[in-house]
Amino acid sequence: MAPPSPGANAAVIVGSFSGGLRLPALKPAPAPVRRLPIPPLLRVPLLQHAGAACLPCVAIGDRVRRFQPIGRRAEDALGANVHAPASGVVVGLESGPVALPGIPEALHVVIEVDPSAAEAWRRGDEAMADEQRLPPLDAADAPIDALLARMADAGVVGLGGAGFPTVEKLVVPRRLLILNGAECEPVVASDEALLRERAAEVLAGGRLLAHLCGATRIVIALEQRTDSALPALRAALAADAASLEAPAPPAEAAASATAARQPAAIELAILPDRYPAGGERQLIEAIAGIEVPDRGLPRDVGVLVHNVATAAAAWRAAVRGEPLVSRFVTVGGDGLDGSATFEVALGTPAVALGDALGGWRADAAVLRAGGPMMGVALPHDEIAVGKTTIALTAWLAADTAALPCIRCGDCAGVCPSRLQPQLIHARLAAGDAAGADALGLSACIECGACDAVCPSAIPLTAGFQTARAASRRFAHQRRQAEAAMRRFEARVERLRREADEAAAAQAQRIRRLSGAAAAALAKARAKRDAESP
Amino acid sequence: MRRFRDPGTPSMRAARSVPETMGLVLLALLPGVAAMTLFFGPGVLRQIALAVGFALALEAMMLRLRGAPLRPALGDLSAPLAAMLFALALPPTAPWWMNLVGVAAAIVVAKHLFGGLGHNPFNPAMVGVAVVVVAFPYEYTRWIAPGQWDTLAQATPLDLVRQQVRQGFTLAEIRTDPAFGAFGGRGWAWVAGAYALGGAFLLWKRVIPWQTPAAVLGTTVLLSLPLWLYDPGLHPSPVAHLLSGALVMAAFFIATDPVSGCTTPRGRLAFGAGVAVLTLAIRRWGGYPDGVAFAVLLMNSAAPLIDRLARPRWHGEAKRERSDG
Repeated sequence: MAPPSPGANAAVIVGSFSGGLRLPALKPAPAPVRRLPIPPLLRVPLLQHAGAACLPCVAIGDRVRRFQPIGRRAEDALGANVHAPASGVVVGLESGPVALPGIPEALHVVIEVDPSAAEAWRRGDEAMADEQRLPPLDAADAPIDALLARMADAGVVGLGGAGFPTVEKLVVPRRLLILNGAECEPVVASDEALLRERAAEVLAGGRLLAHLCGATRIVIALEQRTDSALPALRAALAADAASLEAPAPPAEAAASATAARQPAAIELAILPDRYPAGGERQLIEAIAGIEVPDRGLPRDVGVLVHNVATAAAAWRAAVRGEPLVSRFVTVGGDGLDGSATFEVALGTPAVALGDALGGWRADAAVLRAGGPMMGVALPHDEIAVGKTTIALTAWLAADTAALPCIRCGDCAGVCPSRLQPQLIHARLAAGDAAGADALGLSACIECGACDAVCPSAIPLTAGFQTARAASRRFAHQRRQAEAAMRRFEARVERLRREADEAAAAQAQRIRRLSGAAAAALAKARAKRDAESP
Repeated sequence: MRRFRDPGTPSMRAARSVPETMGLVLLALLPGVAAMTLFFGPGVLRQIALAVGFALALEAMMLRLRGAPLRPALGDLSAPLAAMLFALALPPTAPWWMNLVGVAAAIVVAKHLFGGLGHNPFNPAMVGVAVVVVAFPYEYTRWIAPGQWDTLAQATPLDLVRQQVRQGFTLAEIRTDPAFGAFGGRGWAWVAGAYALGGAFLLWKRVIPWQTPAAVLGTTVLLSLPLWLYDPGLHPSPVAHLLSGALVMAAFFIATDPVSGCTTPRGRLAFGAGVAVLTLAIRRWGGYPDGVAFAVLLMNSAAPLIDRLARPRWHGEAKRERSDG
């Protein structure tokens, strides 16, 4: 074990949050992460992020090199570029479901992978013969704009599951950056594996992200039971702290402005092993003691939360010029014998991960992209691994018919948002959407903790999800209706004003005409009078 | 390509099912039942057997009438639990028809006419007790003397206190009656202790929340202690209050009924406190010897309002400015 380094990361924050429940860990035994062999055909989805799907920028028959863009973010739309995970030939462009909430359909670029590329991947090569890297940037000295553009160019998105384009989060200034390594879902251990193997990259990436958003404090958060990653992380933290104490660079005057903003030693926060410790709002509550306002965002309180894998990807994108084309994925669940974490090329079908552990069990009934609690249930196992696929977990059927709610309140006890799901459920069952909103439905983070403890096995979260979507739709419609009303009123007002103006102009004209006529008449009379004897 | 399905709920459960919960409550009642049987004879068991039988039959009948499937409702143990709680409040010598009337009120009226499990605003067992107390006041107050199962029926200790205080006796004089033991009613103290044991088991298993029993028992002590210190001749001591009658049982087994009680933590405190206050008020001024059933029913009717007022602030909710003052 690594000896504890004196002075470094002595301060460990121990935070806590409301509600939550203890779930079994079921994590794979810590082992070096192996690369999952690249299958002959990669089906790379052009939607692996929050926002709109990319537009393909390759055609069937094109040769692509590793890291070459194959999909570009649509202009003026939220999104992130997608790159070829391996060199090969584009053999198809086809639509299909992707592993994101709601299982939207999106275009996939099908790449027939060069055998040599597959072989280089299998060998574990970092650099390959046939690849198209971006030019390396210096994480500390490159202009901020160039680094931000790099995040967008390299397709870096939130790798914890939400897939929100990283650059969009970085452009808002923050005080505190939280690196989220708390994997509270059972089975999922991709971040734990990443911290074991690439802790230094994660911390360097954290410094880069803090630099980009102006955060002066960096905290890395783990669950208590993440012990396999702690030695590596502590060593990296000590190295990071030591680099801060290194003698100041010669150009002190020039550096003083940035040095003032340079965050101090990265702090370590240990969270209780309670689901959902890795929830964004829970992290902020536990570490900063702040509640993000209901219907607000972390940016409203000056906090940025990024997954540890996102930090590592950001660092690779900037310093090594590597776009995001692979990630760590845990595969497991009781629908499989055993569990493990692999480094997987994006576009690899789910079935390849299952087969790596001997295939799904015959009685496995549910396949999730993610853990057992919030993982997206996939309709079939040909769906490809994307940037947000933290894990693939298979589960046996657990058919428990829902019974009536007995108002036991167990759900309220575990709700991290301190809601009363039993009361909200009753309101929704009565068709009272407004009543449910008045009980805080908008603060639900859809973590499923209430479902897990419900003695009557009521699908509470699913009901809340539907109601929240309906509520958002209703609010949207109301805004539209109000806008239409305002437009209508403005039009009526404009027409009335135009009518008034026209009437006034008419009156003026008549007055003018009548004035002219009177003058002419007077002139004529005067003339007649003059002519008459 | 292998197809999978969307279960709509997480693939991991950490819950106790409804029958398990009800079963644990039934299990926790056993010490109380044993103590009751010890002091009041096999009549206690007869009432329980009758009530459970009636309850299951009526539950099946009502499910059939409502066109609902018998499974899983008949096996969820909620009807037997309600029947058992009702039977434990019956005098052991009560005639079978009194039992039937009470169980019918509980299962048919209080439970199924309101929509079955989970939909009843009032505690079914307490509706049963209230109906029986109001309909058969004479029969209801005939309890056998503890340990003398086949001899004469007599009034309960609480009934004795109420009657004799009204006749001008002091508590010290009343306590010389053979119905009293060292602490409360003779035998009743042991029964209360046995129920507390079962309650502790439920707390340990986290089947019931701590707030409700703590509020019932705590409020009873807080309310009766000053009065007793002021005039011990007129007001029973907190210990006497707790150890005679149904307060302890109510604290752990009746006020904790989730369906008809409060579900918010602070609401549960208010609910328990209300049950205790009303019970003591009915004991002191009411027309019935023990008012637990009425106290619980009154608080049941207030539970939705209490929950509304006692709801905790949710995560990220703006601090509320209470304008209703």
